[in-house]
Amino acid sequence: MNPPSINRQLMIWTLGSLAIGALVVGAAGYFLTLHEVNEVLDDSLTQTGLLLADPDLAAPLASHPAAPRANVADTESKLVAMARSPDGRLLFSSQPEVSLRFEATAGSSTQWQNGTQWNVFTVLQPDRIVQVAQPVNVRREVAAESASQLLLPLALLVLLISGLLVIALRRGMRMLGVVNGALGQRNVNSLEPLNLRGVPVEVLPLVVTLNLLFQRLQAAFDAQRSFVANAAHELRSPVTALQLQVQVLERSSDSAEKAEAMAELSSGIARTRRLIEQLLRLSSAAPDSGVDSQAGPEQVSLESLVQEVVVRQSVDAERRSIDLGAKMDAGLVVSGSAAQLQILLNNLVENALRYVGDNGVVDVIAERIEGAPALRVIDDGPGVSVADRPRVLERFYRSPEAIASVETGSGLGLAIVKAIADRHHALVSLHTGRDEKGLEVRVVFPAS
Amino acid sequence: MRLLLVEDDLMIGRAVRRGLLQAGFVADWVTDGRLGQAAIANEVYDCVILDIGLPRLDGLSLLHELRAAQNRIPVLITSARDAVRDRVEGLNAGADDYLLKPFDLDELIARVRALMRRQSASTSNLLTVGGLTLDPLSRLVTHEGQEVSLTAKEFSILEVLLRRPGTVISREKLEESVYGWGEEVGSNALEVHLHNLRRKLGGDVIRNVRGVGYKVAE
Repeated sequence: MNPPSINRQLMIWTLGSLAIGALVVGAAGYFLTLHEVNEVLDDSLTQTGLLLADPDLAAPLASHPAAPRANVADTESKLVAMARSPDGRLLFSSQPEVSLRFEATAGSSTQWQNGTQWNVFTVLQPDRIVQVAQPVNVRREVAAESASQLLLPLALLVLLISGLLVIALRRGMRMLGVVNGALGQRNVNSLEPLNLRGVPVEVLPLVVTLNLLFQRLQAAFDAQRSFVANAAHELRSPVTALQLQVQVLERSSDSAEKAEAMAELSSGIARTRRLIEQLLRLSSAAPDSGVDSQAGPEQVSLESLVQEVVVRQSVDAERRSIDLGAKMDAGLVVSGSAAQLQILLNNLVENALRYVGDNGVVDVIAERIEGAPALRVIDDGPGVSVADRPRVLERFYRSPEAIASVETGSGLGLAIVKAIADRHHALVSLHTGRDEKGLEVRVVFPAS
Repeated sequence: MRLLLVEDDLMIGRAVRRGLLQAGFVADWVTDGRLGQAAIANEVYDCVILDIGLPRLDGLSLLHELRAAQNRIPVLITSARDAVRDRVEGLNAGADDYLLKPFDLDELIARVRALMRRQSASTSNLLTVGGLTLDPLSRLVTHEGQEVSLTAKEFSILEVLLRRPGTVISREKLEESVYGWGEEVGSNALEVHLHNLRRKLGGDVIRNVRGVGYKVAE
């Protein structure tokens, strides 16, 4: 099946209506002409009948009884005139081979004779009866002939209009071709909007929509590109470390040195893996990624969220003698993605555990702050200086305190938290943690 | 050869320092720009390996301040910033070389050696004085065609002396050049190494200028 075509549709409808129009005009012409012809010929029958019935004019007819008048028979009008005596005897006939039934009724009538219908006009005179007759189909032929003369100009008109239509359509489609050509030049690297000048009004909405689409695509591509560039940049450090660690390992001669180099190498690999995981989380949590758009928002209980994350992290905390505790108010519910909120809280707790040091204290709290549901993760670690706090939420930023600590983070943990919080229209803020030191990260969701 | 490494990434720092030690350098390592600045002020280093993205004082600012103070110490920048503009900026700030992360340990060491060579206006890595030749790359020393086996410290001391033949180098300077931070230095450790060196090479190669220091005769 062919794809639908505006061109073809237009041609079919235009030519179809033209053809129907031509038929209507032809039919109307036929009937109007027939009507006129009837009037004219009826009149001429009457006049001829009356003329023949005039005694002064008709007298000589009697001296030429039934004289054949061959030259009259061929006339297109096929008019037959005859005169009879009052007793019905044929006195005269212009076409003797045509016999008409004698009817002694004056005026117009019709009769069938040998399969032909005749219009007859009869004039009664004391000495004779004059009849003038004409076949009915003569009138129809005249009307049809006259109407058919209309058909030629109509056909020419249809041809002319179709020709012009083809040209007009071709011109219109050429404008589409220009738009199409401009579209063809668009690709991932050049998504600039199409020029609206010279675009036909009919396709303007389409082009405007396309331009909006290009804009969104461009923004998405830019976001992706800068994300990839950032990610590649951030991978440089761990990869540099890995490369150096391998080379150091290769050159280590004694076994103690080798073991140490090996331990360095595996911690380098762990760090790289962590960074990659964080990058993946970040890319799926970024507001522009649209990853979870297929799943609608769900109602997430902060109580069970805290419970799950704290239970999961408690093994690690215990191993390092960190006091990890939770405190939840019941009935706190936020709307969003449970999976992403888990990543958010997990990152916060992981971060706190990483920087707090052995024997530290980390509290995870779900409560209402000024009526709004909130998550708080509080530690007694090195904290973040007030000056550095705004930058901590940026991607890949690591505070001097974080750098000074033995643990090597990716610098992405809080950026992921921020990205997920943004998606949930929640606010992330940093505060001083326990005992005037440490860090508190607070995520406040919109009040429901 | 004593090098200063300024690098805030703990893993990279540890690995580079270890690699430099393995290659026979004496290397100290600091993790931020201010500490780097303080360390360079001691004037015991032959070369600085400087990262750009540093906390407290970034590498480029450190370099600017260094050059503004007329300090000519060779500086090799290591950075993850790969735009031409960044490299040009680094070199314009007074860096002698620019190495992009991730880099190869061998390349780093080769470039450090090249900087040292440039400093001593020599085209070869080989340090030769009279019948004595020292190859910092292969860590091979030959005297009158005979290979001489030296310990790491003996090698370092000889290298320092051979880089400035004829110049008297003070005992303190020698000590600073061959001992990194945290290395225990006995009160006469240097003398012991020098004694051993002279025993292996013959007494007249390294001269003691009493009360001033040591030199290798030209």
